[in-house]
Amino acid sequence: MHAKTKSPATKMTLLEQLDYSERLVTETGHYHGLKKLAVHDADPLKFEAFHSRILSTIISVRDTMKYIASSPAIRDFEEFVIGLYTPEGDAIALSTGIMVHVHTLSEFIKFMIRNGYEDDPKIRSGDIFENNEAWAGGVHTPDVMTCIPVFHGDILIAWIGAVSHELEAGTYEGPGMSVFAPDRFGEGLHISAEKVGENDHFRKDYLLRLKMNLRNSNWWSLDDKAKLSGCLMVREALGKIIDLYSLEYYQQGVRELIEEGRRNFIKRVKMTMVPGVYRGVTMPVHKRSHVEFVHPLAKGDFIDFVHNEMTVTAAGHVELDFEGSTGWSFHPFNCAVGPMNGGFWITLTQLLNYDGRVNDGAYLAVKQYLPEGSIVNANYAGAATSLAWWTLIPIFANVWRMIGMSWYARGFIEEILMSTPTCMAGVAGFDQYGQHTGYQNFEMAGESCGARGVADGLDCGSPIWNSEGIQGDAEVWEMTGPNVYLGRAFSANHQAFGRYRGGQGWQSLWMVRGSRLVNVTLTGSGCQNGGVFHKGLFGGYPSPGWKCLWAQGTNLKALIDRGKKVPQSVNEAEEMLKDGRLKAKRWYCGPLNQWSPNMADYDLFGVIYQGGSGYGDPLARDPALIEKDLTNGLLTKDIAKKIYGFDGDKTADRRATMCQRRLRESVPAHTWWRKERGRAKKGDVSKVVSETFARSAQLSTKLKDLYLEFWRLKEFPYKDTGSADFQVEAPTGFYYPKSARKPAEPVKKPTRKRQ
Amino acid sequence: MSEQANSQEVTRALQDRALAWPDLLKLMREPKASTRFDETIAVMQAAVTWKESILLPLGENLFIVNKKGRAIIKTTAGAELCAWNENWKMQCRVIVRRSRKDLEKVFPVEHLTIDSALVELREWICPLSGTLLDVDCVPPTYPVEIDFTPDLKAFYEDWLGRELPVKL
Repeated sequence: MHAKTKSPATKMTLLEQLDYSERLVTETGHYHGLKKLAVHDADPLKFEAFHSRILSTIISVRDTMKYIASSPAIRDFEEFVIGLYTPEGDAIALSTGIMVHVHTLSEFIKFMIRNGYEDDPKIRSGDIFENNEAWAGGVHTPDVMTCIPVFHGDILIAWIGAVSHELEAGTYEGPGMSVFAPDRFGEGLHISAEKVGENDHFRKDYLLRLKMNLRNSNWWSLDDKAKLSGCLMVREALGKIIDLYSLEYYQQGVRELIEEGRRNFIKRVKMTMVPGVYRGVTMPVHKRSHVEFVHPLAKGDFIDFVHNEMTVTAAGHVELDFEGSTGWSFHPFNCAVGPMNGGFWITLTQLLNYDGRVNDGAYLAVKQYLPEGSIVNANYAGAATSLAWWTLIPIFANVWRMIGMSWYARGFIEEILMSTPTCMAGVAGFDQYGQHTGYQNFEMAGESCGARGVADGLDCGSPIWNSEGIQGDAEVWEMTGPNVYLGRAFSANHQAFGRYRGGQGWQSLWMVRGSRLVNVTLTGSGCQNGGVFHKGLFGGYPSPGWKCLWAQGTNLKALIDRGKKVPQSVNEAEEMLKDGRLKAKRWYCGPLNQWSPNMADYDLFGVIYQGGSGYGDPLARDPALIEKDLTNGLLTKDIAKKIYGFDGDKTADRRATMCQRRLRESVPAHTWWRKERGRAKKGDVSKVVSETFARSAQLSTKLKDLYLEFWRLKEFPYKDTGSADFQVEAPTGFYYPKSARKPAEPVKKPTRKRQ
Repeated sequence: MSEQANSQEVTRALQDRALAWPDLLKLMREPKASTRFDETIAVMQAAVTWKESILLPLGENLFIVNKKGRAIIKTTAGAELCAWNENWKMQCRVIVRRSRKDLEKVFPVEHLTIDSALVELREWICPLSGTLLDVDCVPPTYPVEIDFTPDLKAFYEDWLGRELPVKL
């Protein structure tokens, strides 16, 4: 049997069910038109037990999956998730883990339904579908979705899906996320919403395809088996739940869970936020012109400028509008609707939907307006999204900051939390076992958070993309690849200053061990190449920057043999390279993206993991917190004095003096405006910034209008985009997820007068 | 002590950042109290030296207040900047850090990698007290934007269910 057969219960195909469900939402504003929650209201305790049974099943299955999986990303760093979906593809319940995929799995299922998979390749009991395709709802090639339909007799009653992040995805460079691919043809193996198994088994030809196209295929294929096992375990448990509650109760109950999720989301927004318009800017800087071996299409320096505008409506809905952002380009940082939905979901699940009802209900109360052709909605069929996270992380971290402003206004300061960039070391070549390899070191999952409203940013916490992320054991990475740690430690004074500081920056320095042919890619999300991740809150500063290092042809072996000092941090290695204690044929230490030359035993590489932004005026910092940082070696006395005005019992006087100095050194904003206007009129800025403004204006007048209004100018000085005037058509021939369209008549917003 | 008075005391301690970590965790885990906004306003109002009623806190040391029936933006130190929906930053004093030398005054030299050709820092300062109200990080010549324009009418009338005490 397959789902095309109209079920006796619904008399509809899956496509008809999906259309019907969406029509009911449009017409009534409620999921499945549920104005009343009949099952819930009849017996709320039974309903709660029903939900708990589903959720606990999914969470416990996830823990079992970990021990079937092969890759360190799953076993040690929690980079996976499993969830339950309605026949139409709406999320009912998700496990803990990478919550980004609440809605991406949903889009994958809808992609199959809308593209006629009921007819071909048909949807049958025992089928296994897989996807990592951004056009089919995925985020990027390493995030691999595995999905099965669940039948009850002839009726398709559910989908179960799981996602794992693969450390190796067959990219041109080697590690799972490409930094330098110009388009999708260099970002690795695509599984474009395919049937890869039948009768609860993966097909041999699919497993062979993995073996032939991946460097570390065991990771992918064993993780696939872990996901399939998890899906089958949930399927079995679902049968028992239906036996206990009845099929009718299950079908009505899951719909009510989603509608309840929608209502609870709105309730929480109205309880904790303030309606209005919130604004922010993110501008990850990308430089590749200095990299020796980059595809000509990708050889350039640019800023992916993103204008974030978040509107909390009077109805309690949250809308994100990205008009004014620059366009997609030949790099792997592009986003499509799938990645943007993923980014929004990690925000919603961690900040607003954290009470266990993580389902698609909230999706019905949010919208994203993603301008077609922009960096947040690339419309080129060949666009790469392999490192979409380098755009998503700063964008949605900034949304966290904006939500923090709302919580401050309502007095819920205990909830304010800012996130962190992700800085990354990737390794490719041949490993200590003589095998070809490629992977990103996922200790970055323990990067330090931004400041909170009531405390410093968590040191070695978790990044925006995985609420359970940890650094993991250094030994795991020493087994994974041809490298040993020379040091992994906090970096003194590397913090975003504020009343509450961002999480402390820390760094790792590795020595190549067991390979004669290996190279590394080094990069950071939004903080690399001289950029700033995003601003802090209420007077808090951003972090000072990001650095990476590689050194080829070193004299490290001689230093070790002679018992001499060996560097233990990136900064120490840089210092020793500069003063000659450490020698290398070639080396680099700085903020630019790197693809090192081939290295071998005793060569070095390292990265500084930058923490998130600060909160509040640094002069308001509690002296006790400063003393704690001094004691722990996270801060030096000179910086404590210079930035925090900390001077023992003279602190109050020193801070008063520093405030007076600020008043002396500053100018009235209007004085600055009058002087700066001449520069703004001429457009007297660096080439990269000038091209950024021009690229924004190429897609929309939003930023241009803002510029002309603010500076009271008639002509926009930025014309040259620095790139070919090149347009492409969006893909045709298949359905793919689309952005919501902005209303023709914009919703009336509070007026904002000119300065 | 009544439950209501206790809740007000907890909010006071929260605003003073005087709660111990277990108490903070408890607050994070509990359902959010509908009384929090009014309790917060009461604590903030008691901490400022001026008389205007606070309508909405915009950030540390920045408020929308009721000044004779009009909503204006005012700092803790008492600087009255502008109407509630105008660009308050343009009524502040500002330090713009636009060169490496400028940035070195804030960031440790060994860690500083922010490229001043691409990003400038604008520090918005209260004209009365010298308190740092906000720090923007934007490309040079980027227009000055305010980060939040509340919908005061919807907030007071639709969400809080009370009359907005000012005329917008």
